[in-house]
Amino acid sequence: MQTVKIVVTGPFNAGKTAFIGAISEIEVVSTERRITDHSQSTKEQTTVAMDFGRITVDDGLVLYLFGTPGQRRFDFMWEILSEGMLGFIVLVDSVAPETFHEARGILDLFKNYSPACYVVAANKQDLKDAWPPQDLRIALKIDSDVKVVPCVATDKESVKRVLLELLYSILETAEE
Amino acid sequence: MEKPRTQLMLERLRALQATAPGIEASAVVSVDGLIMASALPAEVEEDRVSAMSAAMLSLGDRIAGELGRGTLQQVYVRGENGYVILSSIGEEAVLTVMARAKAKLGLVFLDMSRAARDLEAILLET
Ligand SMILES: Nc1nc2c(ncn2[C@@H]2O[C@H](COP(=O)(O)OP(=O)(O)OP(=O)(O)O)[C@@H](O)[C@H]2O)c(=O)[nH]1
Ligand SMILES: [Mg+2]
Repeated sequence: MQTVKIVVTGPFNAGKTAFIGAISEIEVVSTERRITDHSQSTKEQTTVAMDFGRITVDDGLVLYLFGTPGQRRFDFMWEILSEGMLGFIVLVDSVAPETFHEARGILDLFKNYSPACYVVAANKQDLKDAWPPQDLRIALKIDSDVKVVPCVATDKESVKRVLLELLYSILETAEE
Repeated sequence: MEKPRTQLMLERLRALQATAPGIEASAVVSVDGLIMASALPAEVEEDRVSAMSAAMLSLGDRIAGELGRGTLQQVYVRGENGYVILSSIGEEAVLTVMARAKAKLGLVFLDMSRAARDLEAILLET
């Protein structure tokens, strides 16, 4: 059996914890803590160390999913979590263009940590103001050979599609 | 006139450092990693220490629960040059303490738990 480590990253509030929670077959190891600075956000909780989940793709393949915190002050966790990853997903909140710059910055950092494969997931596509993936690609200046996949992190089937796209990318690169 | 919360917490941290000679520095951090009161040396990057304290405590909490050790009381890190000890202050905050390698840990633990109780009261009252 093969195990593959995948990291789910992206800016604050992008939906990383939701993404792993939607797909994991084990109870997610989460480190959600109450947000104390409410000028920043309306949501109740934020990730302070990591999320961890697992999904069996088939008899031969198990994915270990590690979610990062989104806030900059936890960036020391980004590097720790990126160790040994085979691929990563940059989740972007498609209704929050003010976070696109940060998303690009995180993408560059992760590319720097490791030459692993990655896809960009245009999350929250169920919301009516969501930027479509092709517009997000332009805004974030994503290379043409990198996939920008539509995503609804709260929907298991959608999360599955994003993970499969990443796995295909990993396989394609391995064959090259 | 009532003193502001930060001031009260800072005074309590200084008192802790005065009673426990092994303790070199201390801080109170919110559970989501923001500094609330700090008696850390100037060269320490407060923002990073506070984020790391919150991350470490949350992981300690999970592992204690996962392995049936109950509610987390303390996380303790021992380096060549001394200790970093974290303990929770109620549900809302973390007490982070740096102690010398030669510190008497029993005393440090005792003084820390007293300080944590007082700090929790300050948080509840102010
Ligand atoms: N409508 C909608 N809401 C979503 C989607 N994904 C996440 N959310 C919501 O967005 C908010 C943030 O989700 P989280 O999973 O906490 O985001 P995160 O990236 O883990 O955030 P941090 O750990 O704080 O950086 C929550 O209120 C989620 O319910 C989505 O696809 N659609
Ligand atoms: Mg999260």
